Amino acid sequence: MLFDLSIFLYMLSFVMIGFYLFFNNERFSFFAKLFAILGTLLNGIYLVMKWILLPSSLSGNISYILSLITFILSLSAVIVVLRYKKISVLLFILPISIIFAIAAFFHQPLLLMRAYHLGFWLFVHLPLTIAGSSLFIVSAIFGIFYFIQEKQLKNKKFGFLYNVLPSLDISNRINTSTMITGFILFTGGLLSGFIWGIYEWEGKITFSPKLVFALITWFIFAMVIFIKKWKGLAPKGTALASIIGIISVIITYVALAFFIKG
Amino acid sequence: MQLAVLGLNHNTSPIEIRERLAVSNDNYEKIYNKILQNDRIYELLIVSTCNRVEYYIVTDDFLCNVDAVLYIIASESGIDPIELRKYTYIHCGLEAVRHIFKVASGLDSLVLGEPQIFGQVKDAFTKAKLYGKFDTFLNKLEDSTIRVGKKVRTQTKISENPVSVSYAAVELAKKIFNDLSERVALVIGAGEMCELAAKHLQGGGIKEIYITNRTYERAVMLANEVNGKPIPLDQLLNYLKNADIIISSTGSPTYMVTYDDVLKVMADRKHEPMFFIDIAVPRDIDPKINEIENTYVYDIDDLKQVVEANKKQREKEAIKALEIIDQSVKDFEDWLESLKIVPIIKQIRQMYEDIKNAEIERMADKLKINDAEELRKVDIFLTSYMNKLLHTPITNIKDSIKDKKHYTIPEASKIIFGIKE
Repeated sequence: MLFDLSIFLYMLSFVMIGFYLFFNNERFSFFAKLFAILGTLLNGIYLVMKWILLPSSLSGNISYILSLITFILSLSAVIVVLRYKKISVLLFILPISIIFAIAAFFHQPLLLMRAYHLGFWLFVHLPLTIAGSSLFIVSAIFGIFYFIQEKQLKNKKFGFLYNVLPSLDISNRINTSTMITGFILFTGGLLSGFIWGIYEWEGKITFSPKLVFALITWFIFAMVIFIKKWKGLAPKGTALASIIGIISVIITYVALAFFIKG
Repeated sequence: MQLAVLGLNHNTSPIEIRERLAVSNDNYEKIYNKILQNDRIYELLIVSTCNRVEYYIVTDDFLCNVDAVLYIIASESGIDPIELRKYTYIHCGLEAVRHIFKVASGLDSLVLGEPQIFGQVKDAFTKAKLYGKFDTFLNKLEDSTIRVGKKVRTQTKISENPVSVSYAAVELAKKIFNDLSERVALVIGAGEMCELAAKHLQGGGIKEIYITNRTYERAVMLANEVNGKPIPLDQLLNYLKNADIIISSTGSPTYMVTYDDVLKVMADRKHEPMFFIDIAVPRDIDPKINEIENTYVYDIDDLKQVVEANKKQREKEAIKALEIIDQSVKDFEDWLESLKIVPIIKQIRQMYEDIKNAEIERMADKLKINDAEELRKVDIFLTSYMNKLLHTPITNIKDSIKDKKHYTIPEASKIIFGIKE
């Protein structure tokens, strides 16, 4: 019920932001912000309650994973809106949140793994990896924002998105900060995954395609962050890297699940 | 009773006339007193800004009294009244209401949608309360004008897009650097354009402004004005490295900042963006710099294009603003109509009140009631009864103001007493 209500609030917020941009009435902007905050809050409460009440059913539950992604995307959007007062960010991030939320809503609470596979390290591994990947999505979205806005400013041709998108330095800052935070969480997720794997497979690590692509994703982000920190990297380079990185994430979690067994 | 306005503005009169008619702060009381000596002018509001002087009067004979106001201001300013009439406009009734709504919304301003006028109109109402006669009409007009002004500003984008070159440049800078308080600007030149841009930057909360000029003393003067730091022109390249926004407007025949200068600087800046605003003709900033990653060069033509696009945008928004104004004028008209009903309602109430009092007196005589407390209780009971009886017809009469249809007496009676069939 809590999650249903949060989906409804996300949708309302999205409609309000549409009205705000169309009618330019501040009241709609206020309600868009309010509904997004309430939706995120309810989504968070839902996740925590499920974590407390049904801990054994969580780790491999796709519905739970999708609602966790929804939460992290919405939370990032709300933080950006409150920190940078750029309400139009909701217009772009909320639809992605809503898609994940609807997928979570319609997904059967199917357990991917049997109970005996569950252990402490898996509990750590999954949320960290999912949270890290969700932040990579946010990073890529702001990378795309950067490209669009940069092109408009460079070519001196301003379309509808010129006033809707954040300034270049905001896009770059969020692009970088979400990438670094996502990378830290993703690294934690990979390490805990390794430890879990060592226990599960009795000391042997099997390099499945999924693991290989997860390592490629980690390597891409590690390189970008390293170059940015020690050599300096143009914002455009960071934006491009975040987009390449998210393609690798999609291959790791979506494409491989459909085409390759692993 | 109706509202009339006698005024002149930037469209109808030259600056020489406007400056002679402008009312200074010390003069308000005198002008208000002089005009209000005419006892047929019941309320008065004077709006005086650099682009307009307007006299709003509430009167029962606007033709005579507008003329009287014209003669007073003509004699005060020493302009021949016939000559002055050529520069003035007169609106009366709802047209005068529409006019003040347009003025407060910035639709009648020299720069369409400029926001300062709203504050000036609010200020004029405050002065009218202080020096003039301010009653029901102007009270309602003030309330409606402020509401319309706010509505236009919040529901349209009329004031959003800058229409001056220097302001447009600063707004563009905000699309690259969201928070100017973390940024450093370098202004090359100390002419009027640079001064305006520097002031806009300072208003935008810029962290630091360096000002350089061929004549160092002028750089110092401008720096003092905008709280900046003057630097000698030969130090320009040293400061370029730290500058995020560079504004240039000099008379130099060659580029002040070249492609190679910026190429060197960008390596040191670790790819931090640089925004160049070149308002000079011939240009001061090498346009090739725009090809370097993370640099953005805008010259005067680019900025003029932005300004033109913004002006068109404001014109579009003005249509939306006019719709808001039309609706508000209609609401004001309804209020005016309701004023006609007020005395009728007062009379009905008085009639009922008289009947009630007569009945209480008759009852007291007949039943020999002398106790004041008893009579008070009867009065409370009958007042409540009377209010209940009057509630439906009075509410329906008030509501019927907006109804412009003609009714027969039976039809009107049904509406007033709320009889369904």
